[in-house]
Amino acid sequence: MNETSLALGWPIVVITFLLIGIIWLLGYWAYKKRLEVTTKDYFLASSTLGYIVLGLSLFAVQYSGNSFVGTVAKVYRTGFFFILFPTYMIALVIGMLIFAPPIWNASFQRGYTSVGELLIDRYESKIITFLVSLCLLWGAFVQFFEQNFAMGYLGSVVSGGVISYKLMILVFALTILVTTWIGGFRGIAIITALQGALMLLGLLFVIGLIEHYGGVSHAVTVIAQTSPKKLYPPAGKLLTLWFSIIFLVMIGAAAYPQNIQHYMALKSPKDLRRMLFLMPPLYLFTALVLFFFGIVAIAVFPGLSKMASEKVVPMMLAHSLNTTFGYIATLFIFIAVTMATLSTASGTVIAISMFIVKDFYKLLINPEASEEKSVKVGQWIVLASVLIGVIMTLYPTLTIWRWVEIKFEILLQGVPALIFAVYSSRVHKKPVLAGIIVGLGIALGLTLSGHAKVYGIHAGVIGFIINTAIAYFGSLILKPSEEELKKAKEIVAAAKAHG
Amino acid sequence: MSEKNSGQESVAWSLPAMSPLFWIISILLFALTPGWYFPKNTYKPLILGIPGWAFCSILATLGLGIFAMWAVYSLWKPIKG
Repeated sequence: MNETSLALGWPIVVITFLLIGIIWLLGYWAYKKRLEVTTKDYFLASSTLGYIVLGLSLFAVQYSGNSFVGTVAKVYRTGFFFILFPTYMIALVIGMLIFAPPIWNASFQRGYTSVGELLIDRYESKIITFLVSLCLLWGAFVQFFEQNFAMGYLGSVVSGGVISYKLMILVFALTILVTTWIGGFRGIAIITALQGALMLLGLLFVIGLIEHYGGVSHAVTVIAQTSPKKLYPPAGKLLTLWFSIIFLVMIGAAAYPQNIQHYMALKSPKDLRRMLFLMPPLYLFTALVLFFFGIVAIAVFPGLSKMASEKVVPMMLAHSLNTTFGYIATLFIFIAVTMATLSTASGTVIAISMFIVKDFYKLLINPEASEEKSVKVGQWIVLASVLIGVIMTLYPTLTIWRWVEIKFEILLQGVPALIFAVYSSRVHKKPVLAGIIVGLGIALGLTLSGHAKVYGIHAGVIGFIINTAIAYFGSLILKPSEEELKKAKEIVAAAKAHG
Repeated sequence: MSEKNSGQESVAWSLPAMSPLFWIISILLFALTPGWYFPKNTYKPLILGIPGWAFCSILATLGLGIFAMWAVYSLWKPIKG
């Protein structure tokens, strides 16, 4: 089947630019609404946003181009094994319940506006702050440039080649740049909230397309004849892989810098609770719809190669264009995916910028920098991130899913220090530092030596377990100073209490 | 960073992750998600048109979602007294 035989062509070009125009206008409006030129306003919108805006924004930031394009492609390749997708999205909420409450409490009590401030206060170690920030930053950066793949594949296939993969990436990068540069976090949160709402609408059309292609039962019947293994329950290594992925996402994604920024930006814990309460139904619904879309794709386009399957979503859309419903559905889903991708990319890039400004520039390089100067530095970091992202994605060699795994392998090594910072006063800096170094060594060593998974368990998960064990048991052996212990107890107490 | 938020009374709140119930129920439901209790190398029985093990996986995930929503309000609240 020729996947580019049907396409939206020029209309999709017009729609893309129309969408981008609206997003820029909203960003400008948010810029006009800003309270002051400070890092707190630029990065956290002066903590003035409500739970519906932040909840929808957080939803849109989680569901990204790689959920709509990369994860559906993974469902296509693995079949029902990836019913794991809804499970790990709920695992993310469980992870947020571990991280969000103590981080918000501690931030409120002690006035932190970034993870680095929390870490330096807790461990009084620039090297720990630097390493943890670097791990989290890596996660955010990969999450950011993954979006380029999704947007490039989608734009090129659905437009029937009118917009090329590379051109799409460039237009996309420019949009992110303008939105983030002028709007700051307030602009991003308001825009991503709107994008979250549009994504939900797009999902209704995905349900319509599932029916258009004959429904799930029909697809299962076809798969049972063509590739029945894609219907089997996981066993052996696949079973350990199942739990490894859940762990990777639960601990990794909940600690994304962009998520932590959302926890810190909330006005009150009541908003945080309302926001987390909204998450499971939204996440479950979205993941299930996308999962079944991937299952139906197996029946519609059997036998695609690994890299060709990365384009299966745009192919499903293009293939439905011969009916009026298919045409309308494709338009809306294209808008939804564009929104999902833009929201994640811009939400992530602003977090990257915040991270570098607060945890590297102000904390470790130039503590005397004025607020205006810090905001300017943040904007230049956005520009640099976008450019590096474009360079890394122009010639894709790995699947989007593989990037997802690589992202978490490293990110996970920064997490034990963060967890212990707010949960355990007993754990102190020397064992924590040793844990991070060994954890990173194991995760990188195994991955680079071609052992990305050991009996289905990700190298990063193995690194995380050893990292945590060194930090915890090392702290039992090496006692902290009285002063260090006193400070740690204050911070852990702050993490459990708020006004 | 060092400036504390003042003017509001501090109240101790329970953290979900400090509750054993949070871990017991989460681990139990996660353990049920991959359908290991179904026969290997077959997709039968089908339930509502999909493999039975996947159907049970969705149910366990649904249970996790409902549990998470419950935990937000019931395991994370001010500690009285």
